[in-house]
Amino acid sequence: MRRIVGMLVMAAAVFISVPAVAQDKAERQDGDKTQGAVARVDVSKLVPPRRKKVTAPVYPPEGFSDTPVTVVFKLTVGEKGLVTNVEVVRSGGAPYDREAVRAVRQWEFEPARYEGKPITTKIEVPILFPARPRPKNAGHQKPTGNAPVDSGASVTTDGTAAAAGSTTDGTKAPDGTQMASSDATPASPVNRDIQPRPTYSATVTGQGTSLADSAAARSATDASDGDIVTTGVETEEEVQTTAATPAGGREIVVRGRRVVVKVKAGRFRLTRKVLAIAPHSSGGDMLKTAPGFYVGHPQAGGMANALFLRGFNAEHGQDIEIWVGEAPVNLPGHIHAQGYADMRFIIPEVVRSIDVVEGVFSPSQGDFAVAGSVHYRYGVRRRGLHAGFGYGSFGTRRLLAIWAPRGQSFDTFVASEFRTTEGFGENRSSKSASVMGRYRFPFGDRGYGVVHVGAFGSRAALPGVLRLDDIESGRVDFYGSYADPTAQAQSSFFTRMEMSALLHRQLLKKGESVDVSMFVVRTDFRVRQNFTGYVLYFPDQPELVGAGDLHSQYNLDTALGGRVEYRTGARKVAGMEALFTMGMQVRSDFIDQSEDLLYPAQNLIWRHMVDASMELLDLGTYLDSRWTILEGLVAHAGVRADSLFFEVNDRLGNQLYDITITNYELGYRRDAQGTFIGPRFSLSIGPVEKSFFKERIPKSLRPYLWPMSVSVAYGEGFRSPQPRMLQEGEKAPFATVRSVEATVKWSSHIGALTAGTYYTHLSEDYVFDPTWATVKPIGPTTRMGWVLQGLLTKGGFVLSGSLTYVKAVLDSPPPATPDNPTPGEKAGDLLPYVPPYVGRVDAGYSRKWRGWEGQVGLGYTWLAPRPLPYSQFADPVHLVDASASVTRGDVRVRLDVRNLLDTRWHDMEYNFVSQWDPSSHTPLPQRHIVAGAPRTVMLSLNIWY
Amino acid sequence: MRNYLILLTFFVSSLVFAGCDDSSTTGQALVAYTMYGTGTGTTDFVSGDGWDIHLDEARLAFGPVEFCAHVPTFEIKDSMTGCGVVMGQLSVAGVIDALDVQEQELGTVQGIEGQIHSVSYDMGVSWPSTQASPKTVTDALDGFSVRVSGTATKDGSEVPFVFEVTVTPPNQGLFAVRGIPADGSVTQETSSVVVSTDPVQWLRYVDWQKVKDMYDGTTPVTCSEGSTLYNSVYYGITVGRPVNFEWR
Repeated sequence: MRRIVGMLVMAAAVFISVPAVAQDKAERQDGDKTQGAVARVDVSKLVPPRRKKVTAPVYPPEGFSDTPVTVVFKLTVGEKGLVTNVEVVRSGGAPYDREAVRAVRQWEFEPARYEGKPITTKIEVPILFPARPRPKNAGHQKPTGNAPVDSGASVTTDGTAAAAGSTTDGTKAPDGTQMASSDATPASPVNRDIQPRPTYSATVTGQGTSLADSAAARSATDASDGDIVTTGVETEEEVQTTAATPAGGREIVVRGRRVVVKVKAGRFRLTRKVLAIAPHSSGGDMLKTAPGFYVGHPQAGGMANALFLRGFNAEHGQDIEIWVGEAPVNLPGHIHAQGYADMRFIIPEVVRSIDVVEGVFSPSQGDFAVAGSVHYRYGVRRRGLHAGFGYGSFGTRRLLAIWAPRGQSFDTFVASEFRTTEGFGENRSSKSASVMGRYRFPFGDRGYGVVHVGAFGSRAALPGVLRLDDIESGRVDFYGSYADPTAQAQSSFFTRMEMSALLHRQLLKKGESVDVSMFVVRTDFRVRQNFTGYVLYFPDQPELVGAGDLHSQYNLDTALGGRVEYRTGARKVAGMEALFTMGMQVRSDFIDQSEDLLYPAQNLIWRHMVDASMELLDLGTYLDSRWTILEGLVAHAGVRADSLFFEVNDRLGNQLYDITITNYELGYRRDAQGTFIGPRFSLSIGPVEKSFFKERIPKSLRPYLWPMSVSVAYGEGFRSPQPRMLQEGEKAPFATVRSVEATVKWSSHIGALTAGTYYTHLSEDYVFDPTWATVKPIGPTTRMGWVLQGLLTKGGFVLSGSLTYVKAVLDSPPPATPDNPTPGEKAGDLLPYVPPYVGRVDAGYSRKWRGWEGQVGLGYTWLAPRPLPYSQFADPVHLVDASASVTRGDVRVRLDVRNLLDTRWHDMEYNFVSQWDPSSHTPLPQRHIVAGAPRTVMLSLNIWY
Repeated sequence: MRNYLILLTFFVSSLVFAGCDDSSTTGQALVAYTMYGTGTGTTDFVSGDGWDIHLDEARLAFGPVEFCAHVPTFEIKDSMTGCGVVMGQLSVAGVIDALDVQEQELGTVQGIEGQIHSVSYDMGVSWPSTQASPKTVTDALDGFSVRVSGTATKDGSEVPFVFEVTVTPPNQGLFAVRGIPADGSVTQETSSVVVSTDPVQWLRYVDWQKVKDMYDGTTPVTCSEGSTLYNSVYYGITVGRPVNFEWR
């Protein structure tokens, strides 16, 4: 019943967004619609608007000021050159605003052009009203009739004549003085420069560039300014770039919207607007807004999230490639979990959007892109100094500071976050700090560069997992932790230091560009964790039975890498417009890792489990091409090849459990290599209204079919192996994934609805083994499912909903092991831990009123019962988060409530053997849980300056 | 309106699809079945050295028990637990009257579906990893693992005996008997497992001539811990396959 209720809720959420699809296209307005695809802005193709007719404003009769008054407008100049919208950016006072608006509405322009086609743009225009001191008797006199005079004259200019302070249109000063000379006292409202100023914004609508696009979810090049990142069929994305105009060579800031068709299958973009609706405690938590994602917290907030996506139990990141800015997050060969991806260093406020590719369809997707890829894009929209102070339940305190210099790119900022909490239960206290800084600078006259430095540190006490029967019997509290010293000693430690740089440059040849990025990431991981209590037994140490299974894992990783990507401009090949992208991606990891079993009290090691160092090298290259076969019919074809090299110094290699080593020394140094080559294809049609067959659609069906796009895609990806599993000279046994996806999307100016179905096959899957606190192979697996996603934005209302279904099964019994020579699972059995249904709704409403701005938001997560090992099922999860904020000028007060209904829920569930009760031996699997957070309230004060 | 209908149709069909979820599981469901003990009913037999043995009592404390996925092994090289995946557990101990062919209920086995390859068990005394010392699980035999009594007769000599032996696990976290072969396939249909034991096997190492030598003419012969006689009974009930299992 709960499942049905959950599905209905999700269904309602998605269906509510359907009207968005059916809206009249004519209603398109600029807004912050950001379900976007990927495109690239070629600034050299952008021609700013030029004025044709300018009507000077009159001085407001009631306006008096001892100092000049400036009113700044943001004008929307349509494709016909008319002013379609006027927005006051900086008010000069009601009278001045009124008169200025009246004037600028009459202005006419030569529309801006992109690739020769007229586009809609926004320009910022300042209007300066000179000082007009109030006459001494003004308080008793009405302005004379000849004071402000609207000459009604207009000028037609070539766009260069409007010098500051000059009026040639016969405008008179308020006192009636004819302002015929620039030497005259400036008494008339003057448009100092209605030519687009060095800083302006432009909105580009319509079909955008046809530049070759590459993967959305990859390195910073996609996320960088100058690129337009699109998700799905048709996307609009506000981007910002700093580049030179072709005409003047001046540095400008462009904020625009472009629509670009890209590999569409499985693409989603989470924009700031959606991300801001519901509270997110960390960067990793933001992913739960993406369709099909569940973000678990295996140890409260003390470790990397557990990620589940579309039937993949991605553990701590083994199946999801994650990039933030220009730097990768996944750590290959990690002692705790392959691809360990700790995203706690991400400060949510500096995330501008998140690109999610569910599936493997873009050649730029590399290692770990099995279930998909995630790319966080940095950016701070609101400029200035931002200070935030938060205080909440369980002694949670958060201090945030962001400085985003005005006039600079969104990509330029410095941010820091300090957080401390006692946690919502026993052994959950944590402290963390994160700092990062980015600077974007011009690079020649056709490019830009970005440098980034960041660091993060965290230490937390961990509660461990609890047996459900112990909770039910009252032996341990739901939010508690076992009293045993081996449980109380659980803790985690993680630091990350990163530096990266990106250079982007438009090449001289039209449309060509190159991106070069580099990164250095150093992480230090340590965890002390006891999942099983007192299970471990070693025949060679029988006297140590019962010492406790407190694992101490340590992993130090230094990763260096870079990427170079070259993109051609559009060119004709075999009669089709074609674009090509070629990239290379390299990464080298230097890893030192160990695992020991500890006596907790004295921190004594009672057994060495792992002591190894490794060097990994990943050489990747990819080629992507985009072919416009017919109008609206676009094919992508590409291939990716990776060659991976592993060198392992396993200092405890060849250890046997019951043999005293007398004739050789411990240790096993080995190397291995493997190559992966995988093709990726996609074909997309649409939107129909822009396709070659649009006229063949009967008129009666056009409202329904024209906004539709269809895409199909196939791709092969890989996950590198855990290096310590490799033998000398072994050809690295990559886990290969094959993905197929078909997607249909309806788009509207206020929203979109996406429906897709997918199939993925993984040649070698892994599942978490709590006994050894790591993963173990379970053989090939297959997933089939579908996804629905809807987005509606209307006025101040935003609704985003998704519902994902998957059936993930074993293709064959797991590999036999000495401990389990005849595994009981069979082909067709469900994969454990994978939730078959994941639903998510984010709904928000914001409104401005007399200088106040209010916002409320709600986030709802639904998880169907997750299958657990041994045919058990976890309890379903229903979670509601809420937020509300009030903003007045530069001050905002925000209230975040997570788990609004104070549900007692299981964040994670497992089913395995543990031994915590000294009075009984319990060798059979038991359900274990990680308690989810109770209602958590956080009040924050944010101040901008 | 039609576009709404189209989308609504699509959505409803999706929900129907969702509602058609089958009842798949991750396999290896949890099971529970009863363990019975049974004897051979043999009260009289002839020992290897020609003694006529008559048994008055032959009772064995049996349990806790673990059925294992690991292949039978005594020298553990490839497993850290000696059992691998535990396929079933009898957490209590019962007493088998080996002179009774009737099935005697010992308790309920909790386990999982799958193939069993070996078994480890205690005989009324266990030593969990969480305990500092062994503990008696059943007091039915006054803390002993086995009690066998009767008379041995040969050439006119009649020697009464009462052997009481306690089998204690060798170490914390270990079973008294480990890695004994057992072969069973457990499914949801499995209703019981029968443990059969033969007291003749228990006494197969006993040197009855020495038993006669120990007899003082009045008091039945007993065995003290550490004595040869004690050890011969000890090995008789722990080595080889003194018990057999049958799942049904």
